[in-house]
Amino acid sequence: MSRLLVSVLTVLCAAPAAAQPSRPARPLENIKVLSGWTSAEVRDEMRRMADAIGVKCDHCHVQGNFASDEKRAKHTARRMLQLTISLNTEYFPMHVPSAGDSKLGRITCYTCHQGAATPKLGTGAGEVAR
Amino acid sequence: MTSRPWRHALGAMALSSALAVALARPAAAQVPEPTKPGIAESPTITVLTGLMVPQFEIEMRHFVQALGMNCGGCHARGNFASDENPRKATARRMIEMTLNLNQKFFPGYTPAEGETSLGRVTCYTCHQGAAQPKSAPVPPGR
Repeated sequence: MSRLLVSVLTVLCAAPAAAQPSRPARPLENIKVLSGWTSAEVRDEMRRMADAIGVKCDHCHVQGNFASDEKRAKHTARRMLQLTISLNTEYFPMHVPSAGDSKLGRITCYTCHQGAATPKLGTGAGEVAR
Repeated sequence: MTSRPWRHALGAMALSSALAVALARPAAAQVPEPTKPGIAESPTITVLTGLMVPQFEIEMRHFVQALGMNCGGCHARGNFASDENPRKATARRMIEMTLNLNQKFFPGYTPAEGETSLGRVTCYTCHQGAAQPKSAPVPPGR
């Protein structure tokens, strides 16, 4: 019985420790658009962005120096985040993202990109009509 | 070769018509006419203004294909000018959004022949054939 109690206590004590990250996350530097977001929120959004655009981190970031603004794609990404945030603020202010959804709002990177670096333009309906 | 006086009469008429048109143009520019020939105009065309009728119709076809709907998705049957269908108000708001977005973020983009005149971002960019655009990938198995 005492063995069982010890096991249960061990599991209970170990569970919160296991949920913690192994090392504390470093604060993020050079955040210009997603300012006010927690580091965890920014990291989560970065993963979503990579998936939505079908790229890896190094598409926008210099490997080993994520804070660097050297890559042009990072500037484009910032501009596109501004676009998305302004759209959501102006046109979808009532949308509250569910748990696990992007914090950006109703319009996300995926809405337009859908896994591709360049979003689609149209169906070519004009050509059909001519 | 016989002379054809009616030809001269026709020529004179054509010349006077051309002159009348040429002279009328500056006057028309000074006092804007309420209706311009060839432009899609209606009291309920409030966002897609200034388009020629064929281009306006092409834009409507772009919407239909981009949203996977038919005309009845937004229009009252038999009265296309009616604002009765609430989706028409949504469509207007979304067109405004798209126009603003293109003006602000993609001002240098010039649509190619056959493309929508809206700009770089179109209805299709987000809708991709569905009435509801996606916010995230659909989880596997759904």
